[in-house]
Amino acid sequence: MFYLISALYLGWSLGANDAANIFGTAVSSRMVKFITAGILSSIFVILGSILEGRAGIETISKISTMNLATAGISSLSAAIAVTIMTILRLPVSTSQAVVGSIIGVGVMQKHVALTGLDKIIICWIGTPIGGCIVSIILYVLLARAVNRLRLSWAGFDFMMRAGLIITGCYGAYALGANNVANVTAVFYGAGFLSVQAAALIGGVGIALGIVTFSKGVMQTVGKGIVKLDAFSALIVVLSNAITVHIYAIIGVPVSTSQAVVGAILGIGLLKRAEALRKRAIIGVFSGWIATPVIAALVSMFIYFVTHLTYVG
Amino acid sequence: MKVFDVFLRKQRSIEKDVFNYLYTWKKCLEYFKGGMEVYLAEGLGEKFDYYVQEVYKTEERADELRRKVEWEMYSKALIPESRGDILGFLETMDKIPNKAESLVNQIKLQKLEFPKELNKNLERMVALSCEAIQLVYDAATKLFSRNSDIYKLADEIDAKETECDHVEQGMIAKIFEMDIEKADKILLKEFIIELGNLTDRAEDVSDRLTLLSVKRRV
Repeated sequence: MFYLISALYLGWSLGANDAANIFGTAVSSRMVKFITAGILSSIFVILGSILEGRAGIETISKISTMNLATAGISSLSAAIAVTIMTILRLPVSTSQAVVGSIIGVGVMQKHVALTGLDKIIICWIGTPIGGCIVSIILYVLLARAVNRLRLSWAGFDFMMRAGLIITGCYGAYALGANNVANVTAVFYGAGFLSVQAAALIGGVGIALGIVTFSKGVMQTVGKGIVKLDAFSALIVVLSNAITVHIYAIIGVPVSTSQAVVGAILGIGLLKRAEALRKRAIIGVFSGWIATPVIAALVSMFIYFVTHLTYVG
Repeated sequence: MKVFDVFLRKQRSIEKDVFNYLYTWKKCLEYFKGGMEVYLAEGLGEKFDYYVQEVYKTEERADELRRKVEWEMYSKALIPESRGDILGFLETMDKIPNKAESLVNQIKLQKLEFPKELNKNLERMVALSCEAIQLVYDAATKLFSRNSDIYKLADEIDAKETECDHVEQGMIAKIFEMDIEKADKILLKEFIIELGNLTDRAEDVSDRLTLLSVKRRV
């Protein structure tokens, strides 16, 4: 049970952080009440986890050869790394923290499973690039369609609001499908949970994080995204959802924050405007390098401490 | 479609209030036009006073409706851009009935009497202002009912404003060539400038509507 608490803690911090990429725009601008966004995203996160979380869970379990104790250490370390980076206000990716902590434990066990790691790293790099490409394609196609509709003011307003809610639900579904592996895959790998149980428990953990703690993050992150016009914000949320969903099908957990950065960059390129600050770009690199390194160090430290033996 | 109407409830409610505002706004300016026509034909009198009263009433009613829309906008959770856009639109729009009220007030309180030789020019200025205002109304209803191009209307408003400026300059020059009291000249000049402001305000609204139309294209 103690080991599962560390997984729930990780899921909770993931939900608290990542829901902002999905419903941040709608909630921070008061288009959707937090309670509505929280309930909708929790439902869809759990659905995504159960229906499409299997592929990611299997990929992550391949890079870990763990027993229940080391799985617990890995989860706890990733959660601590995410918490440290959140407190330090550094951009953080749970997916990258989890892989870092698994590798850290592997190093201490003198057995790092490299199977599937190349696929994971390629997908990390591909996430912002994917977000960028998807947002450019979507923007061009949907802008043409919207302009052709010649909507009245009320019609346009309705379409943007409804669009943000629908894409938000889809984004939550994709988040659950993609990121649930971060939370409980190691326990599946350790043989402690079945795939279905891992997906359900992970999904519930993420949902708990969303309903209990994501409001503040939504306000902060959402205000950053909402500087874009409503249509661009909608494209960013949809591109994030599609990109993350594609990786869920491939079976590699990726960072929703990085997909969002890529999507905003795409719109910036299309409009020939500087839509991103340097901090966002640095954040992507920090996600790739700093997050797994910190998580690996934390897991190595915890592994070391828990394996100290008393020599009397 | 009925299904969409359920979901569009909030937007439709604000849209209805915006159209109510536009209707009252138009009514106020129709009374202004009627009052000015009476003034030009018959001068000051009871008939003119009736129109002044109606301008007061409709201007007040338009103010109430504007406040209602502003309040609703924030309580009914529209997209942030819409809130700012509509707020800005209403603020610029509101300056027109305010100006109309101030103009009929000046005539009434200062008992302004225009020399006969200025009547034609004054008539022309009033006509140009009212035509520009009608165009503003057309552009606003067009934009709120369906986002069709309003650039042509904006060009027409611009042309009215330019012509009105010419008439205004000509009238002021004429006033100062006349053999009347200096104080009267100043009062008449002030009135003419304010009347000219009416088309300036119409142009401001038209600029804002054009911007709104552009912003609705993605």
